[in-house]
Amino acid sequence: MMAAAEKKNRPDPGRQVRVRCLACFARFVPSPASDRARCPACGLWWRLAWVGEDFAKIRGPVWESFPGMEDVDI
Amino acid sequence: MSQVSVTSQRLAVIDLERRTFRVEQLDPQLTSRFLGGRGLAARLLMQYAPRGCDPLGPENPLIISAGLLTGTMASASARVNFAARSPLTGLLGSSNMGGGFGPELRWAGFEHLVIRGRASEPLWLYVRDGKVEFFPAARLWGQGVYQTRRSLYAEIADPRAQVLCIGPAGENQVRFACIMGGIKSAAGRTGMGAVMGSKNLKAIVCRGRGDLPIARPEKALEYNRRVIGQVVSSKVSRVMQRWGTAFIFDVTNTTGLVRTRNFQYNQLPRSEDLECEAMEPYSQSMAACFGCQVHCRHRYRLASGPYRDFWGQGPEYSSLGAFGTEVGCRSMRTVLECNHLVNDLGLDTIETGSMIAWAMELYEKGILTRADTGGLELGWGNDRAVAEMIRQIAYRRHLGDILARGPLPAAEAIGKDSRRYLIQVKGMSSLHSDERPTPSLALNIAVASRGADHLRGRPAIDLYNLPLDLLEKVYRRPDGYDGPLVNDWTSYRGKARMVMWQEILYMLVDSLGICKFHTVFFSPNHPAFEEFSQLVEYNTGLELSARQLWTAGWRCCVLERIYNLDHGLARDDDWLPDRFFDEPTPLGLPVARGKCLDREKFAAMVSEYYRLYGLDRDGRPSPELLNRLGLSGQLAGHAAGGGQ
Amino acid sequence: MSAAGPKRLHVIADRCTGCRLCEAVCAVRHLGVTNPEKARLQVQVSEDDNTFTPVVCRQCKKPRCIEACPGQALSRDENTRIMHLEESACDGCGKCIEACPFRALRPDPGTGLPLACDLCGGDPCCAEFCDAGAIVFAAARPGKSR
Ligand code: SF4
Ligand SMILES: [Zn+2]
Repeated sequence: MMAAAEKKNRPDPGRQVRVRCLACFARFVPSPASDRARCPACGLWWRLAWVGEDFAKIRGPVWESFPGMEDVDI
Repeated sequence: MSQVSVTSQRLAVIDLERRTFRVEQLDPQLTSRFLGGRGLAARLLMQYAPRGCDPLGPENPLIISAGLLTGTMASASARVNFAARSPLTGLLGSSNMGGGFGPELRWAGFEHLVIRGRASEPLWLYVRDGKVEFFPAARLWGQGVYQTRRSLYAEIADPRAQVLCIGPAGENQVRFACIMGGIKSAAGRTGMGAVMGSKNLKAIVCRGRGDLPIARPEKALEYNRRVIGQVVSSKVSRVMQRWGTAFIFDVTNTTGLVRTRNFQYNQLPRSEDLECEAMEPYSQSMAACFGCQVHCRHRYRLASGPYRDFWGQGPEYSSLGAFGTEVGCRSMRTVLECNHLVNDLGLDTIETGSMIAWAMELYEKGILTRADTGGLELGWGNDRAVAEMIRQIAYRRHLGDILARGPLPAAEAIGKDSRRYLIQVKGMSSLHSDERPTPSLALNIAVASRGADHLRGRPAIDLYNLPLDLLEKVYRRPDGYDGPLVNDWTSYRGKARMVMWQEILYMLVDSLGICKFHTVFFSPNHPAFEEFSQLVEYNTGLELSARQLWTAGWRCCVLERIYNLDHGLARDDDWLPDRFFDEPTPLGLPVARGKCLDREKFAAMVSEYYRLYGLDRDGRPSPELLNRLGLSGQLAGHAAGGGQ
Repeated sequence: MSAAGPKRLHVIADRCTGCRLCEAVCAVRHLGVTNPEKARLQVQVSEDDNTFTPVVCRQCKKPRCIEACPGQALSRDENTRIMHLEESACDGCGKCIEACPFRALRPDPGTGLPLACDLCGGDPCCAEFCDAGAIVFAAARPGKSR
């Protein structure tokens, strides 16, 4: 039997890494291991974090390009 | 020791005045009707708390209840519930924690402790192997939680015992003091620590060596393993295994769903240091509650500062708001230090952060000045002032003494128009989430049984824009609901159902003693009624279908409402502060920007929620509902409505 | 059986999260109850000291416990290293418990007999339930990285 720990979190190289754009909800494929990605649908830039080789998540926006921040000063 | 049986639960009634205890077996019927944990605790509260008793008086019992599955090895079956009349709200006091105390209580021979009266001098209780012993705690009085734990472990010389205690905040009866189990687990909300403090009860140590029988061991092992697999295979569990609940911040702050500077903004831009990934340099490893494979808690130690000699665990998502966005701070280091502080002083994170953020807004508006704060500069983003204010609250100094009374009494004491800046419901402050753009989440905090509280009914998966068929698979079961459901989180339609469904599900897991991260909270694919029906059967032998569990959860939810109605709850209390309706969100992504709630639509949603529950237009249970849930006979004379 | 020898339980303590599920399932598998005092392994947990240490039977090459047993109640299959306690031959003298250099052997608080690990007959449930990988059943000790 394979130990539970070996079964768990086994990278699945066949699986395509997809993240969901938090602005327009489109799903897109970031390039492997990159820490930034641009949503092809709405053009917003995101910072990424990687949970595993097969799993990326959005960490936050690239604030300089975040819409509507021109006169926000907090 | 009394007989262990799955259907008849064991209860110790403890009298602090006489220093005696007696053991009772509960009527087995109560188990199938109210399960255990939070549900059965509400039932016991009805029985043991005289209606309208002073929350900090000796008549208010402190009721500690293990869940029906607590300690069984079912997925994360760690939780234990605390109930009393709340000194914060005057309504239902109810809070639960994970960690190790709940299972230990059962191995020690009890499902429930009902603690009555007030000790004439500080005491701690030793609950072990079917007995309760009373020890003087004068020496411990005044000590923080960390030191109290060290002292007690040194005294009992048994590292496997579990310790519950209060810190100075509980001793000083801060209305939102918590009870700490471990260095991180807390019964945070509704002021259960103040109740313990009012009883002169500093700590409860528990140690058990008794068996907890599993009804069908082979089946239970196999099925438990399957359910754990179901939980850990979800994406969100993988994220939580690494970053804990702090992961939520990345999504909500980006979107614009995070209360910032009390309620002035809904996002804190350029707060990279509050993102969950910013915890990595501090985190040594992860820790888990009993039986949990999600292990959502960071273990950390700061290299400098007053807590350099103490390990801490956390921070939770709530800490990032309480000591981050709400007070306008952008530092993980501050969050960690404040996390240490509230855990050591024994304060509820959410209430503490909210009170300080509110005070900061009053300070900005000139309603409070340095004369009120003991000279403290209460400006936004003043990290040092936040930490100092936490101490002021715990020790009731200067402004801290006023904030320690909780939102509504504090507003009354400060006067002017301070009340309109409060973000509270039923006298309890809200998490730092900003619900203006999300009607379903807003309804959840408006109607929750213990005041503004996300953990009583948050349909978090509403934020995922799930395919409608998946949403239907979740929310139409197990009773075959056939009303509207909408997968657009800006909509008001069908959301009352989501909130009711989540309320009943959360009631169920709180009553079983299972952690919410192991049910449909952040993932639609986690266990729900069907799985819990199997878990209950294999672990306890009790055969309750998914439908029967649904009804039991419903019954317990209505019971909590009856308790609140008995203590003055009215329809107006299931409502949000004006700011939710009048001040549109200034920041965030387009989907969350410029949003506030619509009074009319929101009122219709509350009415729909009442209707789905079988409540009348004032939110009172009709005689038919009481009859249907088997609550009428028992609760004659209580707040039945519909008649007038 | 692989050339590396029989499978054994390995502990990688820095992966342990202190959940103690292993203690719970062990007692359920053997006795049908949860009761950490009756588990054949123990996790020493202290949040305050940040201690998270599983203590398990190591299936030693030279098992001191078996050597110490005066009545030959304790024995094992040398191929699988599955231990067996012949209860009728054991008078609970405790010599095996004293002999274990890892303090992995403890008495059952009810009967006084040693709680000897039998690897659940070859598929130990502690390892099966430990998703963190702190207890691993394998011939060789796995690498530390996760
Ligand atoms: S997910 Fe977190 S809170 Fe829930 S049981 Fe596991 S460690 Fe405890
Ligand atoms: Zn996009």
